[in-house]
Amino acid sequence: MKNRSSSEQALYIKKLQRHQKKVLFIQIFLLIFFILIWEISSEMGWINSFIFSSPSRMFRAGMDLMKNGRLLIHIGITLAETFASFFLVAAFSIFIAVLLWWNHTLSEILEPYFVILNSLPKSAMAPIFIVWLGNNMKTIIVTAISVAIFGSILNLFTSFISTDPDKIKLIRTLHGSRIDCLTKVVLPMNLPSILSILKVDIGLCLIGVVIGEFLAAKEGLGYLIIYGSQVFR
Amino acid sequence: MPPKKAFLSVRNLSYSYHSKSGETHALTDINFDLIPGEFAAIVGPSGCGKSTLLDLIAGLVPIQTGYLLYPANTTPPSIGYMLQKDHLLEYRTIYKNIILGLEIQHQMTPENIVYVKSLMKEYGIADFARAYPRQLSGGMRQRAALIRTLAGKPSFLLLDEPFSALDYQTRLDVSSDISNIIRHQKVTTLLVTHDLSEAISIADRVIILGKRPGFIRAIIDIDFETKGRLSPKEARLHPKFQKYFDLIWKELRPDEK
Repeated sequence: MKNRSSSEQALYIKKLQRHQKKVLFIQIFLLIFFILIWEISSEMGWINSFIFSSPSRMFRAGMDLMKNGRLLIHIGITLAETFASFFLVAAFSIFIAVLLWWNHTLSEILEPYFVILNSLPKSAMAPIFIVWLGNNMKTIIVTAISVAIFGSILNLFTSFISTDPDKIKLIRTLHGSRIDCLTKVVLPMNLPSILSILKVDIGLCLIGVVIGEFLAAKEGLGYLIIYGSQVFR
Repeated sequence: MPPKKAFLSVRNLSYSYHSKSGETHALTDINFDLIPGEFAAIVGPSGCGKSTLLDLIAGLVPIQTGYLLYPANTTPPSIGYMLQKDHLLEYRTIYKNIILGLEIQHQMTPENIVYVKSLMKEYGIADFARAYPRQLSGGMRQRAALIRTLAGKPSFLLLDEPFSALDYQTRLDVSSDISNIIRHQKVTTLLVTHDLSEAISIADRVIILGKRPGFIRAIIDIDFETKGRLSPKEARLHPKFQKYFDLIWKELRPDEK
């Protein structure tokens, strides 16, 4: 009996592995196919290689930038700015979301403002930040924060207030305070959604940093993109 | 005047919920006494304000009119409140769930930990200390919830339909466990339930609530005239059980003849 079920189990595992291999193979195939088609169509003159570039030209340009070490510096700067703004967004948005959860009146007052701030076009705000903060890294980080923070606060707050009210009642039946509700129930119960919101935030911070670098930088990937588009590389 | 020896005297307690659409009277002029160490049950149809009454006594909801007295004690008793569902936190082990109340009240003393562990052994969940709630059956989870309530050594126990989420057989088992524990500890207990048989088989006294707004319809002493207390299963088989059942049934449905 046990033998039969374990051989069935082995068969199942084999089937599963075969399926996973198939998926991975098709994924890699699609990527290579896309690059090949791009390369061939620019070689054959089907698309304008000056506008659309081609994989081989991109590779050569990348190697050139690598040779003098500039690319790595630009990537490093962009990453550093992204992480700095991400940690600030994470800290402030969790703190503010907790405050809003704590004080119902405050959340009622502030929620529409956060909705409006979240919908402002941040790339249009960046020039104002330059005027306020100067043409430097501060502006880039503030731009990145402004892209991510308001949505992050709203999402965290929504997840905090939808915590099962019975679990909060449980803490109160055990004579717990509001701090206990926060540390024993609200934060640990919402950990999965906090993590998924932070994952989105790090992507938004990268977008924000690149927007900032478009306008206010002498280094970084955003600067490189703008420089490259101006000299047509 | 409340009787001198009462453990708890509830006097003229009324409660209304307010919302934009209007006022809902949940309870009106509730009066009763609990004797020290007794096990009383409150029965009534759903929506009669049973849970509101417990929330008021537990202090989770502020009292609007009326008052509570504890004539037998100089200080208010420490209250253990057990809810309908176990509400074990999925990210904590069973042991961590059980000591949640002690943790909150900063009472993780060696004696309390020994006490909790002895309770866990007694009710057969010591082996599950490191397990997570999802690995336990409904009955085991409810026992863990009970030990969590008892860990702080309450002198007054409020039970809000603690068996209603269990299947019939587990329910009989857990309810007899719980009545054993409680009688052994001699804690004054107030149980809320919509199940007549459960109330008659466990309680010394049954308080019957009427509906909308909740009011006290009758208070009935349950006495099987036996030496010592019957277990809930024995009580259900006792000849007087049916008599009490009919009596309370009629009280709950005064309109039917």
